[in-house]
Amino acid sequence: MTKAKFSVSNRPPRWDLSQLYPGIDSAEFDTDLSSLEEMIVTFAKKYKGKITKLTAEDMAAAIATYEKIDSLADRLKGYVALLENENVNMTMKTQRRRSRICDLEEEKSFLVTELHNIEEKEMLAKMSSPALARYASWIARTRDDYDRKMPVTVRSLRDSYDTRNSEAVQRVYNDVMADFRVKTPEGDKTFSEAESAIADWSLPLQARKKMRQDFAVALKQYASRLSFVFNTSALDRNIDTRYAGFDRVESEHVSAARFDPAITAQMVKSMRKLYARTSHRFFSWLAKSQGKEKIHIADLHKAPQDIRDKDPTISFARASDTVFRAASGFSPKMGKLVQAIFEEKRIDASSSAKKNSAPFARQMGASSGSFVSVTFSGVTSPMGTLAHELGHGVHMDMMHKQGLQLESEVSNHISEIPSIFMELLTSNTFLEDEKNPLRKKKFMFDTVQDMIDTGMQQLSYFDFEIRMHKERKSGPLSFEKISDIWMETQREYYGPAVVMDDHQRYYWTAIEHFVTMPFYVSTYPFALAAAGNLLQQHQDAQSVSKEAATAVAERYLEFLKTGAARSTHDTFRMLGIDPYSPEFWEKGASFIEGYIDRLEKMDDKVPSRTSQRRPGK
Amino acid sequence: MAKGSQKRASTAEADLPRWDLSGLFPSPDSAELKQALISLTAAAHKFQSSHAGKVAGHDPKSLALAIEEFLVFETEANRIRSYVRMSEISDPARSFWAEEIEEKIYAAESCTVFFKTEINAIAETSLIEQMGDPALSRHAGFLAAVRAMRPHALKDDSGLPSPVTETYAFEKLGTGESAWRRLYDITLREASVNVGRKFWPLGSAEKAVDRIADPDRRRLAWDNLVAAAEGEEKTLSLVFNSLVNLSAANNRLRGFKAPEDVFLLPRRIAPETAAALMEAASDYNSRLSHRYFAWKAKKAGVVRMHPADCHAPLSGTKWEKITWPQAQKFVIDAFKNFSPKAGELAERFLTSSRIDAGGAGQIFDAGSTDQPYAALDFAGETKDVLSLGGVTAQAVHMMLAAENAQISPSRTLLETSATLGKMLVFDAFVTGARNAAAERDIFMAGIEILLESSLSSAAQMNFEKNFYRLCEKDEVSPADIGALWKKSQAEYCGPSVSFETAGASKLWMLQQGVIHDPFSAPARIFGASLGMEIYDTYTNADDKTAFAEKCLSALSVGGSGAEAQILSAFSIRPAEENDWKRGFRALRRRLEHLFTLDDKVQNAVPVPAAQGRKL
Repeated sequence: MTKAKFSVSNRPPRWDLSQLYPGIDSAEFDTDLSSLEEMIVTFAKKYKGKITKLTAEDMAAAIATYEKIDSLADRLKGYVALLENENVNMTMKTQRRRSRICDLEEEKSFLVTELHNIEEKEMLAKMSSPALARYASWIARTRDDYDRKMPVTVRSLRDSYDTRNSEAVQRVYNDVMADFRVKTPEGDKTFSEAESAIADWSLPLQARKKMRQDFAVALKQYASRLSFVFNTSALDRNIDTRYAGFDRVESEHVSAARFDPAITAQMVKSMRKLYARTSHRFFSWLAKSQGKEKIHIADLHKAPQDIRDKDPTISFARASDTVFRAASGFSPKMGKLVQAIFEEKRIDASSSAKKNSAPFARQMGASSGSFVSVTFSGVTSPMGTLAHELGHGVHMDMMHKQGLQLESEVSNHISEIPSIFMELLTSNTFLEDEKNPLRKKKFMFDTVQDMIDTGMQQLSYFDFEIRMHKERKSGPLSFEKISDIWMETQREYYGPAVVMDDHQRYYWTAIEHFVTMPFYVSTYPFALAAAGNLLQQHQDAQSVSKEAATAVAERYLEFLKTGAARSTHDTFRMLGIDPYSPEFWEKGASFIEGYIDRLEKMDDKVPSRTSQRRPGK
Repeated sequence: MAKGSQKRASTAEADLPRWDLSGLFPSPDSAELKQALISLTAAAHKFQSSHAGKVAGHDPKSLALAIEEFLVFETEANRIRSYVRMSEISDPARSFWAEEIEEKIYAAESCTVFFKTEINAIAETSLIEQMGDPALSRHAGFLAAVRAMRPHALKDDSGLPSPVTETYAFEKLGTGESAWRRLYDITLREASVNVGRKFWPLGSAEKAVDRIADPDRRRLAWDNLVAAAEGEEKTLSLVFNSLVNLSAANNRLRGFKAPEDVFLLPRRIAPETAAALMEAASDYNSRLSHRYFAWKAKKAGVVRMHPADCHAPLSGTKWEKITWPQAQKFVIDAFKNFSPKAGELAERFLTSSRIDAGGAGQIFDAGSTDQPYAALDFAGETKDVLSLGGVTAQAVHMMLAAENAQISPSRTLLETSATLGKMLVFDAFVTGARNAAAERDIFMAGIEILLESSLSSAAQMNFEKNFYRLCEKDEVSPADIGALWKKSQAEYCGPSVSFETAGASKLWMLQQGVIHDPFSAPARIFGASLGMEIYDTYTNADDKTAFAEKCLSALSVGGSGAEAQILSAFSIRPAEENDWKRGFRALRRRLEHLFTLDDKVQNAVPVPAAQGRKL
């Protein structure tokens, strides 16, 4: 085990953006923006219209310049995004700069287009040159792009016309969410305040039901705008999908994410059958633990009586420390990378009304490590989120250390594996540490819940998106119609033990991913199944020998380093998993079931309620 | 975000006309409408499969047949769309239904986009050769309009107009421009304003505020209006910015230089003409609007008027409400007096059940120019009757064009007839005025309405141009949009209207023309100036009957030559700023007359204490 010192204060840290730029209006930012422009102009002057005729050496030089431009653009865009994240009202000030960077970047896109247009034979001949070896897989991926069926002129029209427009549509959504207020007797509540209020278990069910109803009424107030956003973006995606020559509504996105739509199709097919063994079973257990046949959705995330008061919050210091030890325990190298993110002030865990509370990790180009944002309010399983984003951060920093820029564009499905893997490691570490049986059970409960949310619920979200987009093909959808589609998928997921309400009916509006990253949610159930398969491998190896376990860890680190240089198929082979087979999904579900088994067994181990001593405050 | 629960507030209280749309379809949910949509879609697919990729190979006769097939399709699409829009005016709760159907029409139309693009891919020499065939030369007007877009087509790799790219761009309008316009409408419909005793949707509240005679009550309502607008500022600023962004991207891709060019092309206005029109208008700001508002401020007893008072009745003015039947008869008589033919058509239109007093000045040809429909905002005031005169003249114009089997008249000529119609009603009022005071009030209403369609629209366009320019640099903040709007209004209204009031910088949000009819000023000034000039010549003509007939026949000629013909008849050289000023000179004479009348009134009656209020 590593001896590295790791100590974090309890106060959630702020990141230090001055290591990037002094400010959005700073001379430094403008200088970089100007040099980006200069680089792009020079690049275009030198190579535009000439790519097909370049020698292998010159082509490698062109791609190297392209990579440098890409890296600087990532840094500038990343900085803008981090500022916007700190303060959602910033967009007014930053949007145009962001658009300018996008516009500039568009000027370099000819390289990709021209690479597309090179005859296969000619390209193969060039690729045999050692000069191009470094970029071989990137070129192959680029040429094999998802929208290759889209005519070039249509593609360039889409690029120049669309990006900004769909961003603006998303802003309508963001504005609604920022302006959103629930009227309550204690005054108006923001979205996240209302979210916390309905999870305030000190309130009786009746009061929470009422709050949920008020929440639903408030969501309905924004019905026109929200359905405007959903209808407009779904139509927009549908058009592009059709022009790119795909027949399934989700295929373009899955392919654009450089993943195989055949896998996600297999996933929906296999995993919908597994609701009964996972989510239904868990919710029935929950109802039973409350002595009931059915449980109201308002009580769903409420832990059973015996563990309810078991420290729902985890201090920031303990959470960070657990993640660190989990990472170090798997591999000391991984621990050091976690540590660096804290020490280099690349993490913001504060919470404020102005901050966009959606957690993320972001690559910043070749000159800086990744940046991570979580909102550590201490109410909902914050340690898991922290582990998740740090898992991303570690992955990005591994690639960054390898000097990967173009090769760091990893498929989202693959990139969610390290984040979920880190979550699982962290949970296991916490469970080993915790000696108090009630707290342990509480944590186990949270973990199962989280896995169900990550795996099965996200699958139901993906299923909702597919059905919603399919329906959108035949015309605009009313707010209630979208709610109907949503409820269908949610009933399938929750099963017979859960009683639904209006808050749940309109809750689709609150899921930002549907708007900003359609079909992105398919990454989670996949990655959970993959991470589950991998962790199982590691545990199996551990039971053999320490060396065997180290070998699995090394193989995993190798995977983190590789980035997108390897094809997904090669990556799967290397990791020893096969998502095309039903067994893969079966294993993923059994993995969740294993935790449910352990949770149920804990029912017997914890002292009965009557003898239970109330924990001291 | 209270919902606009008041359905058709303006017509609820009075005995006002409602249109009967059953001539088009039995009801919005009828099987006939469903069938029409199915047929329209089938027609689009059939058209696509018979002509896509083949237009260049068509001989003149088959090209002519294709054009005819296309026009039939377009007319039917237009008929259904008009029905849908009119049904939505009748019942705003139908907006989602309307969206559903419009999307279906849109989808059908997207199957036919290739047609015009393929026509534009035909080489000029080969098309000229084909036009020698009389079967095709009949469609010269249609072809000229299509070919005018040729230099601006989206091209494929080989530099030819690209049907697939054009179709894609067309489909993307549905999630671009059309989507933003829809969001604008949703916002203005759902936000409501307390105007006196009633709540109005934000979109129609401004007129209701203007109508309040009591200055204190009006000011209160105006403050509510401003506050309601302010509540939507974030959304509407995004709508304004997004539309301009899309428009700028489109202009870049299609090689339009000035932002207004794309709107001038289909209206057949040359850029030089547009410039001359705008210059003529701006030159008359100080001579017309500034003087008028200075006079009105003085009447109100203030040095500088509050913006809420600009278009409001003078304090103490007693308006006699004009009932709908009175207005109908009044307008019919005014038109009959001009020409029996015009009178007959006006009567046919005004006594048809194709008018609805619950809309906002819109005319629909609904698939047949012979039977136009119109929506207007009628509350029984002099200005409303003047507007009715304008709408009626447009309807008459369309019906005349239909009789001559011409395609729907151009925007510029429709604006010209609208002005003529307003002038006819204006003078009919003057003739019937009981005394100088009444006549003065008529002149006020007339001048305000003529300013609105000319100089005020020029102000809007100046705002649009400045906004566009600023947008290219950066996203324009609501405060900056407000400042631009105030600047344009101050230029138009002059020093006697105070735009320092904080609320004045919020009014840009209510300028529906910027969203739904951008850069329309050249067409409107064209119509206003030419209309006033024609009317002026008419009043001085020796043989009024002969002149009126000449006028009607000139106006009712459709096609691309019509504007040139009528302009040369009045020896207006379109690029000459001075020639366009002649219409404004006529308006100035009316303004002078208003002042003379006012002096007469002042001298006749002891001057009452000023009833205006200080700012």
